Formats: sequence, structure tokens, C-alpha cells
Amino acid sequence: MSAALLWIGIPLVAAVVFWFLRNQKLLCILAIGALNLLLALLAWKLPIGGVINFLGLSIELKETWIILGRSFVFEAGDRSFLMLIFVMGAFWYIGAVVVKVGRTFAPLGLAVIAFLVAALSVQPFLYAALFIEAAVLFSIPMLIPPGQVPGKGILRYVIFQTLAMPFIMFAGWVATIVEANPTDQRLLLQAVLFMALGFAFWLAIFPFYSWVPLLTSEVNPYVAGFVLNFFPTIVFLLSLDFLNTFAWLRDFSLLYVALRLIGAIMVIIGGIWVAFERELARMYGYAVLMENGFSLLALSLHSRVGLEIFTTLFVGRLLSLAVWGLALANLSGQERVTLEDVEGLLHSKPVTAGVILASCLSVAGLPLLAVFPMRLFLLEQLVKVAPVTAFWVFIGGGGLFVAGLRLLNSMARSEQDYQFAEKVIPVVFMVLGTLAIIIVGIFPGWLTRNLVGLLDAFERLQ
Amino acid sequence: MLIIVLIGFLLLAGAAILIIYRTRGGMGVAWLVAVVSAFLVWVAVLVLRWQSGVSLNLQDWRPGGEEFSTLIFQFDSISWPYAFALVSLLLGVLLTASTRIQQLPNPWAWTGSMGVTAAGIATVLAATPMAVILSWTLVDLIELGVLLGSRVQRLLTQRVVLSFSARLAGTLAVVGAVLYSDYLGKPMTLSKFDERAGIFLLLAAGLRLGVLPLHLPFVEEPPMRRGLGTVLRLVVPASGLVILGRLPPAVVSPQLAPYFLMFSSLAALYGAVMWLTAKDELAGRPYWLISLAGIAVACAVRGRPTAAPIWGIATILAGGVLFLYSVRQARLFLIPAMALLGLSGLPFTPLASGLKGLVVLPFNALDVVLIVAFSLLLTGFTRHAISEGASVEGLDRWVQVVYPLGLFWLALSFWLIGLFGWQGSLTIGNWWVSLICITLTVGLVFLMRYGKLVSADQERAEWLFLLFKPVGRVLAAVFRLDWLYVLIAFVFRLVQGVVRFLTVLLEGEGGVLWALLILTLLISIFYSGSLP
Amino acid sequence: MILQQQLAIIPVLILLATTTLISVSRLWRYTVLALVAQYLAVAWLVAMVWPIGLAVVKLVVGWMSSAILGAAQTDRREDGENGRIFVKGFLFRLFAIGVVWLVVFSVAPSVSGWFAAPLQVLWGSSLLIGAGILQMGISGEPFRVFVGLLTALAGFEVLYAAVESSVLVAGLLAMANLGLALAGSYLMVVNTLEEL
Repeated sequence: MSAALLWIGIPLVAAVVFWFLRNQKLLCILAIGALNLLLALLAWKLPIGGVINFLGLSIELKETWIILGRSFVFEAGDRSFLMLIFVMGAFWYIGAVVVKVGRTFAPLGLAVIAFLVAALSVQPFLYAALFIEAAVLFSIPMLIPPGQVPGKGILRYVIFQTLAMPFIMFAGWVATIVEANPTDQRLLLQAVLFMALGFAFWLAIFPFYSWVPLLTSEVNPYVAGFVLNFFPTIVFLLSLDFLNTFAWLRDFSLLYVALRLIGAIMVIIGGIWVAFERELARMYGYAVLMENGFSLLALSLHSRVGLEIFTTLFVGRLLSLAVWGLALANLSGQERVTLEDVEGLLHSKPVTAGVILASCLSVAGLPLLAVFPMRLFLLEQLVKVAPVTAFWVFIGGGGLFVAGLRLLNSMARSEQDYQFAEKVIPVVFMVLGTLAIIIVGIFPGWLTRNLVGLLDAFERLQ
Repeated sequence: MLIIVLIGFLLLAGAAILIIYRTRGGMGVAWLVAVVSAFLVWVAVLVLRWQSGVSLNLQDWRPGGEEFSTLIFQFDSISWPYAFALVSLLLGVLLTASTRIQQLPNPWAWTGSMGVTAAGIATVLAATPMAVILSWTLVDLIELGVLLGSRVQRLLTQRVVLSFSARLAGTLAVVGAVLYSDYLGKPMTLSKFDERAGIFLLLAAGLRLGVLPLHLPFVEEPPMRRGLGTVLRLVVPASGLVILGRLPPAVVSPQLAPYFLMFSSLAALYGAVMWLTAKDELAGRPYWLISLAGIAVACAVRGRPTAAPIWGIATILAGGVLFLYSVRQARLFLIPAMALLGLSGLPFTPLASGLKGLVVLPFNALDVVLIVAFSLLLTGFTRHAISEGASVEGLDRWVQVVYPLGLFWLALSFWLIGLFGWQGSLTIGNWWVSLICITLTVGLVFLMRYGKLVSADQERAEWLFLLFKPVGRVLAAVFRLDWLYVLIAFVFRLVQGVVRFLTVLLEGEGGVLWALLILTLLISIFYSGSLP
Repeated sequence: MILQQQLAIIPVLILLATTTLISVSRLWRYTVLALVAQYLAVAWLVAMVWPIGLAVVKLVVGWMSSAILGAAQTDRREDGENGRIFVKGFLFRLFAIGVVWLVVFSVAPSVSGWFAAPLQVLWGSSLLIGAGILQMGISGEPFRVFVGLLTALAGFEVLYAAVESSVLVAGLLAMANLGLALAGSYLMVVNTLEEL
């Protein structure tokens, strides 16, 4: 048996099976959440490339699965990121229990995860673009369930994600030529440019970011958050893979400067835009863009420390965005909610309001919350390398604080007594999620130590 | 470990109070548990004065260099007095709560006071930048929760948020200090940091105290109980004041020092004037804080950071005596008088060491401002101490004993800190400055008392208020920074319009083309820059 | 060889016509027909660098995509103009596609330095990409956006065919095209559907 069959094949088959069971929404969500947990557990325990003894049988878990001359490769070092992906999946599915997602969310979400995992493992890498495109297409019915009118957001999402595909494919073609002629600067520049454009489309880098706030305001925030969390995570892991594989890319002098500049632009523009935003779901979208920017800044440090920061940022981001999305979805579903609409929310729905504020301020980098420790560490490293950039990033990051404080001002404005007009189960989920944000913020050290295992898959980057 | 025990004990005791109240229904037992717990902690902190090396080190809290990755909370010559002051305040609050037990029993307030004090102790013991950042945030969030939890009117909500924002800005200033130190290549700890980064810490403390820039979000305070309100209002500034004692002598460059000094002196004077003319001590509480904080900041700016802590202690303890002095009786006046004596700055009084920072030779105009401010503070203290309050009649015998004991404990603690708070705390100080201030104070009190300007009868004081009120209103409007907020709102709306325009451009019809146009421009810039 | 080169201009001319029609026409039937003809030209261009059997795959997939998009259409009037050709914005769109032609024909020779492909292939692919992006950029309806997307993708595929001749890639790209067409048709009718 091959590892790809386990972590790609099984989720895909399960997605098909659960598609036919989609009427049993809760059952599907729970079952798929459990499947994600199981796959994460297997990634933790099973020796890829080794032999498993199960019920008296010896089963070899092969690293490579070859189909039509192309291979899906999982090595021993990849276990950490498999765990990360499936734990993320389990987390989102558990939260989906209390959110009004469509019936298509459960099976299609699993299919999306499977395609994204396939994208990470396929060799040569140009096929990754095709798998990601497949994931994008499968995500459409999830984002726009029947009965909803598609808006500009979903169309832009499809446009930009699809436009990435040919650029990555061209990058793959040029990369093979560059491998043979690594000193040809013109070819090198071409390859980097194609790759950069591809990633720019995928990661919603300025100026291709407009679909993110549009999408978050048009669709269920929790489902949007699922897409906005998984896709960038996979793309970032792909980028690590590229850097690990291609020495010419690793050694390209302008790459890290460009990453720093782009990351800074995303943080600053996201910060400015979010500070002036009135709609809650759009604030969420801009926060995602800022997080992407910070991840790029971490990569731009071009050091082991930078990579550690880069990987650790995943968890703070996941927790904060997931809980934020959950709270938003519970608050409004798909209706547009502005600052005026949430006036006095802290008095009528204190838990939901508190959770939205906590998760927003967590992404902003408020001390004691999940994102702060590594965000500060990132800025400390950045200021040594590019102080002016660090200064502007610090200022830009303040935009999300401004947004959070405006939210607080609006939500707290009421003379009514405190009520509790919320359902218990969603409250429990939101409170648990917020507690997780606080615990990670107060005890970040153990998290970092455990997550650096992700870097085992990228030996040459260290 | 000991520090965790202390803080944890306070928190557990707070929880125990509620459990006892709910299960046993015993208000008295719950109160007793609160008082005994606070007393035990008071004794423990007192004993720690003579223990060295008491600290809590949380190593490898997060990745990074050792200086940053460790959280350190420790008792030292700067943190111990503040910690002692806070637990004394707590004990005073709980003992004086006996006057309110029969009419308005509220164990939630006692629990809240213990929780806030525990958080406050953590902030004053913080000895690394990371510890400061985390503990400040904790205290600010607690304050925010308590304020929003009370019935705050719509307008005050904005003030609460502004106050929180200012404090958050102070916390971010500490972050800025850390980053600036990294940039200078001299990683920062609170015991050693580059002087150029010190200005960020000064700004952080100033923002936290409402001194730099001077702002008073709360001229009308949200309705809070006397006990919990006093704890909250004094613990939060303590977290900012303690930082001042850690600053290096030359924290501000000679070019900027006059401006900082001017702002802080102005804050001190303004606060003192408003304190003197306030309706009562609770209404004047924000001004008391601002004025003393201004003096403390001025000490730090003038290169006398070691003088700053006692001003902070005076804010907490002497202020605490007055703010908890709800029930008044002639013989009880001895206790505020004891606190007033401690405030006088006479040789070997607690504030004597603080006067070394009030006036720094060569004498200049700002020294005069600060002397006047201090005199007005003393005058105001006197005025509020002799004004009428609730009567002791109707109070149980045990309350008539316990209540004064609470006040006395605060005054005693003030004197104990003055005696042995740190090496050199018992000192002659600037005795001549003290004499000048006392003379001015006596003169003003004499004028007020014997000019029939102020007496127990408030009607006779009316012309004083008629004189000062319009002036005070104008000054309040200026220093409340409402005009600044209006300006910020105007600029905000302007920029918002531009942002909206760009958003419509990029997200509207044709947005894809605009995005590609921008991309083309960026690529052409890149190519023209990179190709030979 | 010379005849082959002279004949190679025909798909480019077809593309000029089809991209113009797609850009300016507001009638979905004409758009679909143009798309059909467009894929014929695409297959022709691909056949210049690939075996004819593989090029036919592009044609078949293209026609299937067009059919899927056409099948999802309803009888509603477009733009409220009772199905007239010359509706408001016609001149602007004509002008815009004209600008795209200008850009394509001026840029194509410099692009030949990057891709070793016949000039007609470069013209054709650039035209498709430009027209596709224009279509995506100026329209907000799912049908028009996906037509634009398929057009742009077709342009990329033509260019890619000139540099890479992998059968698997061709197959996967075909699936991507069909997937896009299905996604487009879904978004066109989703608001009328009951829950899946």
C-alpha cells in the first residue's frame, strides 16, 4: 500500500461516499471530522517507507505511488505537514457542527482537502497547479450553495485562482530548462517571474486581493474561512517545497527582497483597508490578507528562525480565523453585518461579541492571545534586517487594532442590561475556541517546539 | 514559585469568597475570609522585603534570545514598595468595606478587588519587557471588563474604549522599545537598555497614566463602588508608575527634555487645580492621579527616576486613605492627618525622598510650577479630608473599630515604606522645598477656612466654584482632547473616502483590468530596475 | 511549407473574428457559436505543433465546454434590449478589442524570444489571452466571465502546447476546461436550484 492511497485516495473515496449521504448533514460532518482526526493520527504514528504490522499482516507503506508516469511522493519528513493539514481539517469540521453550512460542505470539503494534499505530493510540481484548480472547482458549490445568487466575489475567486494555473505550469516548464542552464540569468528571471505570478494569484497578493473581502462578505464566513485557511496554507507549503527543491531559486538574490516588499505591502494595505472597513465579514477578509503578508515576511528572513516563525504562525492563524469565522457565521449567517448592526451586541449576545473581539484582536497581535508571541518575534527579526520595512509593517499592523477598537466601541454601546440570547452549544464551541487562543498565547513555547518538525520535510532550507 | 503562590492565593481566596457566600449564605464569614487572606498576603509581602532573589523565571516562554524568551517577575527595590502598597490598599479596602456590608453587601466587589490586585502585583513585579507587556494587557482587559460590566452610559462607553486604546498604545510603545533596541543591536531588558530606547518606555508610561499626552477620558467616572472603584483606579496607574523608577537618568535627550517637562508639569498643575476645586474626593480622583503622575514623570525626565516611585506610592496609599474615608468623625481625622504628614515631604517623612525630584537645581520656572502644583495637591487633600461625610451613627461597634483600622493600615503602610521601602528611603530630602510647600498650603487653607471660603457648609463655598468652574470647564475641554478626537475623526473620514474610492475601483466592474494594469506597471518598474 | 505558413494565418483570422464577436455581442447564442469557432481555430493552431490526434482533443473538449455553457442558458432577454446586437457599450467594447489587437500584434514578436513557437501561434495565443482577460474584466455575469476564462485558458494552452507536448498534461487540462465549464453552468443556474 502506498502513502498516497491512504492520505489522498481514502479521503477522495470517502468524499464520494459521503456525497450520497449528504442529507444526513450532522452525521457527515462528524464522520468526516473523525476521519480527519484518524488520518492525522495515522500520519503521526505510521512509518512512511516502513512496514506496518497490523493484525498479523505486514503491510509496507510505500513512499511513492506512480500513476501514468507521474508520482505522488510522501517521505518520512512529510508526516508533520500531513498531521497539520488533517488536524486543521478536523478542527474545521468540528466547528461546522454548530454552523449552518450547506449539505455540500462536508463531502466537498473533504474532496478539497484531498486534492490539496495531492498537490503537495505530486511530482513534477506543475501538476500541483492542476490539482489546486480541481480543489478550486470543487469548492464552488460549497461556497455558493443552491438558492444563492453568485456575486462578484466568487467569480473573481475563480478567475484569479484559475489564472494561477497556467503561470505555474509555465514555471514548471522553464524550471526544467533552468536546471540544465542555471547560469542563464534571463531564463532564471523568466522562471522566477512565472512562479511569482502564479503564487501572486493564489495568495491574493496585491493587486489580486479584491476577491477575498468580496467573497467573505457574500458567502458563509465559516465556509469562506475554510477556503481562506486551507488554500494559502497549502500554497505556502508548496512554496517551501519549491525553495527546498530548486537551488537556483533559493539562491536568487532578489527573491527575499521581493518577498519582504510584497509581504509588507499586503500588511500595510490590509491594515489601512481594514481600519476603515464597516462590514464585519470584509474585516475578516482583510485580516486573512494581512496574515498572508506576515507569512511572506517570515519567509523573507531567509533563515532557520524565519522558517520556524513561518510554521508556527500557521497555528495562531488557524485558531484565530476559525473562531472568528465561527462567531461571524453564528451571528449573521450570510447576511451582511456592519458596525451599525452590531451596536449593543455585547449586551445582547455577550459571548458572540466577545469571541469576535477576541479573535479579531488576536489576529491583530494583542498580547496574551495566540498570534502575539510569534508576531513580535517576527518583527524583532525583521527590524534587524530591514528596519524601515519593520516600522511600516508595525504601523500597518496597527490597522487591525483600529478595526478591533471600532468594533468594541460599537458593540459596547448600549444602556440595556446584559442578556444571554444565545444558544448553548455554539457558545460552548466559541468559548472553547477562545480558550485555545488564550492558552496558545500564554504558552507559545511548547507549540513552537512541536511544530518545528514541519521543517523536517525541507532539509535543504535549513 | 513564591510569587505564583502569592498571586494564586489571592485568586483562590477571591473564588472562595464567592463559594462561601453562595453556599453558606454567610456574608460575615465571606468578609472574614477576604480580610484574613489579604492580611496573610500583606504579611508575606512585608517579610519579603528582607528576602533577596525572590523571583519567578519562566524560561523559554517563546523562541528567541534568552533576554526575550524569559518572563521574569521579581521583588526588588522598585517593585517591592509598589507590591506592598497594592496589598495594603486591598486590605484597607476590605476593612473599610465593613461600613457598607449591612446596606450593600457585594462579595463580587471583594472578589474583583482581589483579582485586580493580583493582576496589579504581577504588573509591578514584571522585570522583563515581555512580562510588562503581558501583565499590562491583563490589567487593561480586566479594567475594561469591569467598566463595561457596570451600567455605563452611551457616551461613557466611548470614553472607556478611548481609555483602553490609550493604554493599549502604551503597551505597543513598550513593543516599540523592544524593537528599537533590536534595531540598535542592544537587546533590551528592564535593567539594561539603550537610553535611546528609554524614551519609548517613558512614552508608554505617559500614555498609560494619561500624562503624555495629557488626556482625561473620564472626567465623569463610570458609576463604580467606592471599594472596587478605588482599587481599579489606583492599580492600573501603578503599573505605569513602576516603570518610571526603572528608567535611566538620561532617558530623554536634552533637546526633547524641556517639552516633556513642560507637558508633565502642565499635567501636574492642571490636575492639582482641578483636584482642589473638585466637588469631593471621588470626583477629584482622576485629577489626583493625573497630578501625581505628572510629577512622577517630571522626576524621571529630570534625571531623578529614583524619586519617581514614592510619588507613585503616595498616589496609591495617601490617595487610598482619602478615597476610602467615607464615614467621617472628628477623632478619625487623625488618620488622614497622618497620611497628610507623610505627604508633606518634611525630613524623614515618606515623601521626603520624592522631593529630590520635584525641584532640581538650577532653579527655574518649571520648579515653581511643580511647587505650586504640589501645594495645591496638599491643600486639596486637606480640604477633602475636612469636608463632611457619612456619620458613624448607626454603625455597629465592631465596624466602628474595623473601619478606622482599615484607614490606619493604609497610612501605616505609607509610613513603613517611607521607613524601609528601599535603601535611602528614610532621608532628609529637600527640606526647604517641603517648607515652601507647607507654607503655601497652610496659607491657602487659612484663606479658605478663615476667609469663610470653604467650610462644612457648601453654600458658603459657592463663589469659589463660580470662579473656578468656567475656567475648569474650558481646561477640561482642552485636556480631555475632545478637539483632537474631532480632528482625528475628520481626517479619518477623509481618508476613508479615499479608501472607499480605491475599493470601488478595484472591486467594481473592471476591477480585474485595473488589477492587471497595476501588475503591468509593477512589472515594468521591476524590469527597468533589474535588467542591465 | 510556404503554403502551410500561409494557411496558418487563417486560424488567426478566425480568432480575430471570434474574439471580436465574443466581446461585442450581447446575444448568448452568437457567443457560444463564436466559442465553437474559436476552438476550431485553437485546434488548428495546436495542430501546428502537436500531432493532429492530440489537437482534436482540444477541439472536442472545447465544443463540449461550449455546449455545457450553452445548455445552462435560459431564454431570458439579455441586457433588457430585446436581443439586439447594437446595445449600449458596443462601441466601447469594439474599441477595447481593437486595443487588444494592437497590443497583441506589437508585443508578439518580443514574446517570441521567450517561447520558441511559430509567430501565428504566438499571435493566436496572445489574442485569446488578451480577449479573454478583457471579457473577464468588463463583465460581471457568470456566463460571460466563464467564456472569458475559457478563452484565456485556451490561449495559454496554445502557448503551452508549443513548449510542452505531454499527453497527461493535455488530458488534465481538458478536465480542467470541462470542470470550468461545469462550474460556470452551475453558477449560472445556482440561484434557481433547490438544495443539492
